[in-house]
Amino acid sequence: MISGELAGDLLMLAGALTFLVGALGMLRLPDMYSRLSGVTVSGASGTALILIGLLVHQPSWMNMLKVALALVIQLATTAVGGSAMARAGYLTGAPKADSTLFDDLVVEAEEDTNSEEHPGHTRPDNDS
Amino acid sequence: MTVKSVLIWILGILWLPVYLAYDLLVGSLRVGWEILTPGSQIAPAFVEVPLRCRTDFEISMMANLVSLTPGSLTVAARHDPATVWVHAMYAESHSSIIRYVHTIEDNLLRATRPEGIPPRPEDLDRDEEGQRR
Repeated sequence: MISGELAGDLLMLAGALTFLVGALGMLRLPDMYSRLSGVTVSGASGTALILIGLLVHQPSWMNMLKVALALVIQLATTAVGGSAMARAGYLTGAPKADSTLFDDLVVEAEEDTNSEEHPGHTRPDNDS
Repeated sequence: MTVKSVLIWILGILWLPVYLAYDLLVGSLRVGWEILTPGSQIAPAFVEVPLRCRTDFEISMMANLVSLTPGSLTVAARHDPATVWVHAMYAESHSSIIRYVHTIEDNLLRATRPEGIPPRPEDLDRDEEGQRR
């Protein structure tokens, strides 16, 4: 099974390089929201490549079960964490990139004119 | 619920992970290319997308699936009427992002609804106008 080990190594190397791309994205991308998208690249694709590489390296039914479980949990938590960070960033007024085309959320915030709280406090789902 | 709609439902459950993997791969390549090549082509935008999802499970799955795809991110979600606000890195126009999110939604609803999925809102518009947008 030399070829299987080689394929596993290559997949894991690709995963590690994907993490590198995600890390470079932290420096390259203009604002917090784009950077979070960059994190998703490494958090989802990079982890998936490394786990699949591990499975190809040491194939067995038990490992398949473990890798599948790890993948599902990793993907779910990456998504939930990404949303939570984006939401927290928006509510605390993280600056947007200059190239941002339009923002539908601003309209929601401006409708609530009598709010004297922090500008980021207004959010679409607590209008009473 | 007919035999046909149940069959589509079962196929939809099997198809959803395949579609997700494809979406993840395409999004990763796009964002990775953006990071590695000099210059910036990103045109980010926050887009309000009305959904056809009804239950809590569908809405939270939808928000997570959008976040999972590199290049798009859920910033806020509302329960009633079901809406998500999506930050997209490559927004050519409102309708392109809405169409993209509705494609994900189609695939999700096909896996969660045995009775079949409702048509897209913009498809209804198109039928009334009698022409494709």
